[in-house]
Amino acid sequence: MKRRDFLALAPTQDISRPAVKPMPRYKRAKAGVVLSGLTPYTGAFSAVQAAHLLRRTTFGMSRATVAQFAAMSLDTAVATLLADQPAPAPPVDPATGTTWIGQPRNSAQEGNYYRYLQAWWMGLLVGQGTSIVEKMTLFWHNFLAANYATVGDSRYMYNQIALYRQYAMGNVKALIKAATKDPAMLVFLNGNSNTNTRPNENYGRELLELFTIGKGPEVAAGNYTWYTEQDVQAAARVLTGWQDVNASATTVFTSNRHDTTNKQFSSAFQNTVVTGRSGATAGDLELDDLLTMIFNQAETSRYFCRKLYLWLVSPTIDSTVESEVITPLAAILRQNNYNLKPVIEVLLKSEHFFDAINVGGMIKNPVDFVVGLAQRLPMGIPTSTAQNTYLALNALRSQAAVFEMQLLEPPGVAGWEPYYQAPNYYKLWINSVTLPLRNDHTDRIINNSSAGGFTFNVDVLSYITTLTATPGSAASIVDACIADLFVFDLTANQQAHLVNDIFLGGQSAQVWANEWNLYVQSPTTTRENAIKTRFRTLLRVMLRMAEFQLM
Amino acid sequence: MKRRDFFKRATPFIALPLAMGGAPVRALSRALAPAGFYEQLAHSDKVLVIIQLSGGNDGINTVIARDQYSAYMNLRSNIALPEASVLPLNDATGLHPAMTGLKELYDDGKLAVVQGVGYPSPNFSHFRATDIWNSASNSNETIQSGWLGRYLQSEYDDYPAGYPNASMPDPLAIQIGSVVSLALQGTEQGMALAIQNPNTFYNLVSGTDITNFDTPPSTHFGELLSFTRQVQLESAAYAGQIKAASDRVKNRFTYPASNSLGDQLKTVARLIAGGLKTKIYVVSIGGFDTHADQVVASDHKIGSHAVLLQRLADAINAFQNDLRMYGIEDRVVGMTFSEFGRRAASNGSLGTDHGTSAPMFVFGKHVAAGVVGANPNLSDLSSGNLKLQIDFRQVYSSIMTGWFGIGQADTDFVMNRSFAYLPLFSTAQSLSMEVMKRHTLARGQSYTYQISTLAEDNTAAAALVNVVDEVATPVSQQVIIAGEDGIASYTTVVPMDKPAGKYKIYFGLPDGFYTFVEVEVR
Repeated sequence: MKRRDFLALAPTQDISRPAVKPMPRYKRAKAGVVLSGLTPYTGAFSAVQAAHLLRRTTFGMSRATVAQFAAMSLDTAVATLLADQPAPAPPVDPATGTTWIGQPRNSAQEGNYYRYLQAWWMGLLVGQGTSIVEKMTLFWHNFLAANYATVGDSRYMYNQIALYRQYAMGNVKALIKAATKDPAMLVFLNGNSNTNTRPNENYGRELLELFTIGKGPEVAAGNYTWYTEQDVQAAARVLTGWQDVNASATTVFTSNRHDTTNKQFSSAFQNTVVTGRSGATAGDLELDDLLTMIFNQAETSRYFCRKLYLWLVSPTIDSTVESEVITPLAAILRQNNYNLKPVIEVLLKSEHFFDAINVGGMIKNPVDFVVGLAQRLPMGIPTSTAQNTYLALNALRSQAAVFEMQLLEPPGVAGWEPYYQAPNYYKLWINSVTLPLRNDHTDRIINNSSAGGFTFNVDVLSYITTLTATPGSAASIVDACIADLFVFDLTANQQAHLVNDIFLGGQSAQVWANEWNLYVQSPTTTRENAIKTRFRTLLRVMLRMAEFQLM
Repeated sequence: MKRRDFFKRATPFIALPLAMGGAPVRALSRALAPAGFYEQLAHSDKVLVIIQLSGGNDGINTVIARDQYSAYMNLRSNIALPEASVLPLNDATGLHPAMTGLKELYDDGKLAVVQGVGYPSPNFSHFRATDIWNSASNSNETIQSGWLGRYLQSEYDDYPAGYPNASMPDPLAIQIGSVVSLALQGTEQGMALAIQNPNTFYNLVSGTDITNFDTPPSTHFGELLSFTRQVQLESAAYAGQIKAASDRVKNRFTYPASNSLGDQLKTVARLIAGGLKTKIYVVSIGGFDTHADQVVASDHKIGSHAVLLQRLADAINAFQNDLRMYGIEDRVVGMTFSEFGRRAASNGSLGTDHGTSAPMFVFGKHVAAGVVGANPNLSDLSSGNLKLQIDFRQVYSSIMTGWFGIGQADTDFVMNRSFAYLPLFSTAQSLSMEVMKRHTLARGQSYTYQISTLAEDNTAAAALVNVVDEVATPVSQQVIIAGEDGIASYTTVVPMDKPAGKYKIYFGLPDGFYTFVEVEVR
């Protein structure tokens, strides 16, 4: 694997380098009412706002990135995040240095290829740079979910993820059209067995229920406000005839498998009739008609905006948010012919996005958690060979999987539960199984013991001395760690507890200062180890704190 | 806490032979157990185990209408099971050939099949339908709490303030896995703890610093911070109890290999036998969304659906045997459900699409074995789907009243409406464990207890009976010999010539297993 930017961003081992001053932090908000809407945010844009923006649009960020963004205007910062990115090179087989994408299926190697694909994607997340693309690619993976467990072909999954990355902040209608014909999706939701003689409703149903307009209250039997059972059946018939072609991992339309009759939709779609077509172009023409009909409904634009809001801001969509944020965003989406980028731009630059009620109000998903930690700590991800890099990245991937979010394996067609299951939403990431496992993960990382089958090598000395210019002061160390690891300041009591009981272990601050000075004046391995032990003790406790689960 | 009085509610029973619950400790000789230990045993009570089949199980190929075979064949010739392969339950009804484990339970009188379970205006979305089953709502209403969560609230209405405590030291409910089901959500908060493995759970929660909490702000951040801290606290509070229960016993029956459901039920059996007072366990198995290739074209008896059904049947069978070996069969009942059944006709992909009603299994020693309700009529469909026969909430409500014995007011709270009682349980079970564990005898009255002495290799053993008085002074000691079925019987005589007061009768087995009953002599 090519050496990626993120490795250059990792702090060096040079402890004599002057440390940056601690980041300023948000003061906690007191109010519990949302009054802000999409009015452009005109307040200060410095490190605290930059950090919030980056937490929500990337997977954690290094201090260097925060500093870089804090020096920008909000306009520049958002423009940087939204800049189009070139497609990354496909994954390679580290044994040969070449890719298997675009080749016929190799069943003997498929198990390995799947692991390489996962590692490759984790590498893109860790090396995300200063772009929202990776966050939005995962958004679509969660939104238009398919999983390897069902699809069973790493080429198909790669193609689907490449499609989602291509349209990460692009045209939603074009994406839905492409996803409908995507080979992985055809396999995952049985589109490939949907024919004129034996219609299979699976994809047609999910297209309406989950992928475009969404399900409203069931106002009568089989009538879900925005569509009906009749529409599901009609949509399924429109979609007949598509199949995947395994040899080339592509899609084919077979006209004699297509239902050529007219498709009558319900009054939810103004009694639209999609005219039955025949011949080689029938599938595309009818699909275009179907999507035009669906995307002409204002509810479709609102549905996408709610999903986006839930991904970037909050799961709490009350009537104020609906009227002040979702409705105007949906109008922007329609005005822009379903191009997503202008919508994201308005949202990220809005008063609402920076409203104190939303800051910190998100539980890190497992990928945020694992990748975010890797962004912060110098974890020593190896670059010697692609094989070694993949091993380390796969370890991170497997740890996220243990916390219930495995890349390429969303549990079902609706994606991961915390993004759709009311009323708990994000809270579903945290329970008595996953929280102790997250705690165990951070312990292992800090202790340099095996995590997910790989032993990382975190340089705690470098981490702390990069954070603070005065490591001889226990209070300064704790303060710097709070600033780097948490969204908000801690209370004076919590801070004192971390300094006195955890870091100093009951000793006086002077004892630590003496120990540090002695080490700086004449460093020995013994002294260095003693110092690292103090740092590790502090970090283990802080990374176990509830505050570290939030972003 | 609202301490329920099962004693008053239970049907009075005298001199009926009863099997004893087993709750082992390290050594038989520890008659003077640590404070609180007897309390824990004495209050142990009935347990409900829920098995969720995620994806929508094809009920028509699970429980086969043998009396409508030609209609069945017409609807799904490409996936139909051969008539002769079906495991007959009675003249009309049979099980999928892969479910020998459940057939055995049926023949042992421990399985009820409830036919055609669903609800009016069925929903075909996995997520919405799952929510409906878990929340016990109408099809057109959204309820954000679960039926089991509300049941637990009716029993422990002040939870979580002051929990764990001496009378309820354990989680009210345990989800095996890492995501707690909506079914266990109360109207105010979650009522359950999720665990994967009792030992690793304990090891992982130690090391969390939970001191010096402040008051979080009233923002989304503050709400999530409080929530996360609550999970930390609960995890820490229950970890020791769960590990201790798990350490107290080992599984006495071998579970099927490569069967995740079996692994989950194995943990459940250990925790129950180990003395947890937890009332509800939820486990799950996925993969039932069989739109394609649910059978192999050349042999419909095999394929992905057969694999799933075999895992289900084998796991339940092993679990029931394990409970029998522990001698705690009396305390446990289980139930399966899936968010919906499948369309009556198969599709062109050797699979089935989302449908409506489907059978449920209710299993346990005290279940009234049999088939409840007629086979669904395969010739009388509604838009290609089976018609509703039994509302799932009627099954829930019958479990609430028939197994947990809760009153009408609480059932109404839990179910939000009233349903007629389905006779899912044999009458003997209405004598609850509470009664069995602690009861009163008039002088001269006799009472017979039975204890299972079976070991893992199915060999029987002798049991040692120790009777002690209120201050643990030994009164008598006796060895009782088990019959070929492994059951040893003991009839109370000793306390009769002693003064009025409370006595404890301990039953111990050679491997250290032990249990007791408390008797008050008037």
